[in-house]
Amino acid sequence: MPNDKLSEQEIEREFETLARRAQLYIPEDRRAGLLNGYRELCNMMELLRQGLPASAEPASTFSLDGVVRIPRA
Amino acid sequence: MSTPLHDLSIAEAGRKLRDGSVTSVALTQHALARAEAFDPKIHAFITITRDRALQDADAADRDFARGVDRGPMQGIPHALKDIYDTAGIRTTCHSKLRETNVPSQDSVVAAKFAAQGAVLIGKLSTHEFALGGPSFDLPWPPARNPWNQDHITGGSSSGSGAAVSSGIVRVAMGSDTGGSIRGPAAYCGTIGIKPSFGLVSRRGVFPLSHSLDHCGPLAWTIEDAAIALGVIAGHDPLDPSSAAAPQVDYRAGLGRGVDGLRIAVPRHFFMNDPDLSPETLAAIDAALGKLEAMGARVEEVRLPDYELFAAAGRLIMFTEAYAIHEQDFRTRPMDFGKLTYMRMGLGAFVSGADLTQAHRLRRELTSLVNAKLRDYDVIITASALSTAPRFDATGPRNPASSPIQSMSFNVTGNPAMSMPIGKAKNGLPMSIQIVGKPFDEAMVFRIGAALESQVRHYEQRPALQVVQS
Repeated sequence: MPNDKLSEQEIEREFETLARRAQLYIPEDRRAGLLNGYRELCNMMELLRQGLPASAEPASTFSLDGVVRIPRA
Repeated sequence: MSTPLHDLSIAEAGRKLRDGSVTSVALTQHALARAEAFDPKIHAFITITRDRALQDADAADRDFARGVDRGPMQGIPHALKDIYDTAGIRTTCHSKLRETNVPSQDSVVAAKFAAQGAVLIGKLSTHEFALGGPSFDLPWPPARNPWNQDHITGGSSSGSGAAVSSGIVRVAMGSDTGGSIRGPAAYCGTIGIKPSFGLVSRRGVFPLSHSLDHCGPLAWTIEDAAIALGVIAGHDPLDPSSAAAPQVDYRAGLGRGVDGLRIAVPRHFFMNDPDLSPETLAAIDAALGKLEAMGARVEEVRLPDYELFAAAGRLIMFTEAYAIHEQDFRTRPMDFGKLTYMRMGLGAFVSGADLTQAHRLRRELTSLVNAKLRDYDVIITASALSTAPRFDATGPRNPASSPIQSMSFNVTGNPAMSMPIGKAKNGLPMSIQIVGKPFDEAMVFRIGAALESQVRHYEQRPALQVVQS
């Protein structure tokens, strides 16, 4: 769902729906700031979706070892 | 004229403590006096542990007198960001939600310093829960930049940067989830190292983001930082993210120079960022020129764009942070500061699919950075893209952008150090970032020390006015 195709009203509706699903009561004086952050978050998520999709990754190569914990020789 | 006590390096102070020409009580009283004189201006501390400090110092002096040597931090004043648990001492995370929290146990880092006989001066300001700040709607004011109090310190280890820069302590602990050690180090003109993921135990440190948090020191010089890191590094079997890394003497390579070392510079990370100031760019180029003149081979390289690292890191950070605070977000949202709420709350809006994508990208980016480091000893890139902004120029900032390019190495877990490379025309510090191979902090320190010997930032302190009580 490319976010740049959504109208401002649709983004706000999506924001409200997701907030309700998260059982989040958003204080009125914080709503505009959070909504603004949500717009930026949508852009970040869009950027993440531009890489190799998960469906293109062969099974068994997924690993939680992405962050080095043990020094390699 | 003898050197003022706050200008003695940890190693110099250690020698004097051992030959009896200075006492830990004297060092500690000096540190406390500076804290009392300057803190009303810079707000570095949430709690000053005066009584505890003097007791620690007295115990250290008695140990020295009996010939007991606990290590290089014995008798040396230090301070901890107020997210490190300290037994019997309030640990607030700079938040109303933990205003009265008094832990019953020390964090591993606090315990390691204590076991060495180091002297705890106090607990330091942070952005709320290491994320939301600088804010004026919290129970304590934000730390101010010692070089100019109209300017921010960077965060979230804001008090740590201010306390080291102002010469209250030579070393203070910070934590770094997206740049929270390197940012304040850059803006306050100190050394700040985010060690490799897994090198320093995080047990007893309040988490911001479990997979991105790193604990590390801010210090006045590279040698001070190397000493502190040597004390706190080491495997902790009770911290699941702790690595069984071999013990290293981080000071061993200092003074060995950079002749023949290979340095990769991903200029595209910072060159086209609108936040990059021409002065910072010139300072970065001058620093690279100094390293080249000392015999290093400096080459421009290409990595994935910084925006990809930032997007993956921030999405993971917001999500993990929100997961930690979800219950409080639902039930007492007004107890969070406004900035914390607006940043952390974004985690409620991330889907499982997007989080998975972020983790997959993270693994890919980590692999690409470390593949590049097979051909080089370090990567050098920008730290802060300009000098510390004024308080009145900050506000709820677009979460996708940052004037400090640090998140990349929280994503990959590589060691990364910010260090000063000069002052801008406005008198504020400028910085550079040195990034090493996993668990090769020694090389980061070695190259940093060579540059430090040319820059000599440690010769100038902020001109702070004493506040009379």
